[in-house]
Amino acid sequence: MRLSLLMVIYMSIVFFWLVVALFVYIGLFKSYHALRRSYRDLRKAVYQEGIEKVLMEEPLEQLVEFFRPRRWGDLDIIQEVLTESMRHLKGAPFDTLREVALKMGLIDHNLRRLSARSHHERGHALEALGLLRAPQAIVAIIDILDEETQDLRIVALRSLAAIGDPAALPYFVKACDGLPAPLLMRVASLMLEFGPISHRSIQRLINAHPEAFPPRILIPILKEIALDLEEARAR
Amino acid sequence: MGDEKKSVCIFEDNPTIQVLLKIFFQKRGYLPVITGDGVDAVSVVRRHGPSLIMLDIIMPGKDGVEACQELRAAGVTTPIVFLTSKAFADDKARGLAAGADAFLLKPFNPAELDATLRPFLG
Repeated sequence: MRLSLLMVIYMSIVFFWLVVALFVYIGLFKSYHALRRSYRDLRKAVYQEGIEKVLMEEPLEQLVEFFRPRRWGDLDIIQEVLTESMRHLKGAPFDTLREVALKMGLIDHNLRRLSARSHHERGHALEALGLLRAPQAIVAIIDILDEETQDLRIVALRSLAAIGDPAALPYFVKACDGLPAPLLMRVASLMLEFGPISHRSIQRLINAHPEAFPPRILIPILKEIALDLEEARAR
Repeated sequence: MGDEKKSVCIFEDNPTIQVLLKIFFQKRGYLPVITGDGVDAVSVVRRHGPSLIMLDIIMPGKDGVEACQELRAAGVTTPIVFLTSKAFADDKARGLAAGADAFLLKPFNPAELDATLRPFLG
């Protein structure tokens, strides 16, 4: 009886300290991330001025000089600033931002990140390569398609669609093996971005997975195809 | 008093687009007033008396179409331009029916934005 009472006291003390340790760990974890976030925000603010310079049409050499990393670890922050703006812009400012990114070697940087252990980092690299319209990344992206998780496979296909080389189209159909029906619909709409050249591959995709394309999904795709053909005919 | 800048009210929740639009309007001599949601659209517009209102469709609190309807119902006659992503292009008819004057898609080209807004900004 006395022994079991001692056991209860001992276990309560151990449990108490375990809970304290857990709270300390959570506290440290949260503080680390809050500090990291505020440091990144501060660094981002430094480079965000460069976006203003891009919109003010400053010469490319000056822009490249401005975006040169000033501290260790800044390259990822610069990339974030550039790609965030590229996502919302098109035309001349988009082309300028892309030029700056190419001159800074961001394509090679992201190609290296494709083999990172972190799923998150690989996703960012795939997205950046698509935004940078990097044709030299097509082979590397296709190579990792089979190994990636479903969500990263969609990011990879989105990047291939953004790069826009129709040679990648057969891999879209191949990458659909094992994807659930709602994702197949997304793949079909990504393929439409290639224009009329994608129609035959889309047909193959629909034939291979008819269950994923009921009439309510198929009709908007057919409408897009009809618009594509009309535009091609007008040209 | 004569040096007072004309303002433009921007209702947009994406911080990157906020920065891009801020630079765009500053470059053209306007004072951008940026709000992250459409909840108090009517009072913000009444306070600043802008030359133009830019609205996003998908925003926290109140969507752009609702905000546009409220502005028109409150008697605001300032030109309203929607700037929204391609995925919500179907909302164009809804936006125009709510009283908007133009509808632009993201991603945007500043040169195209300039050409579209020129008739409203004079």
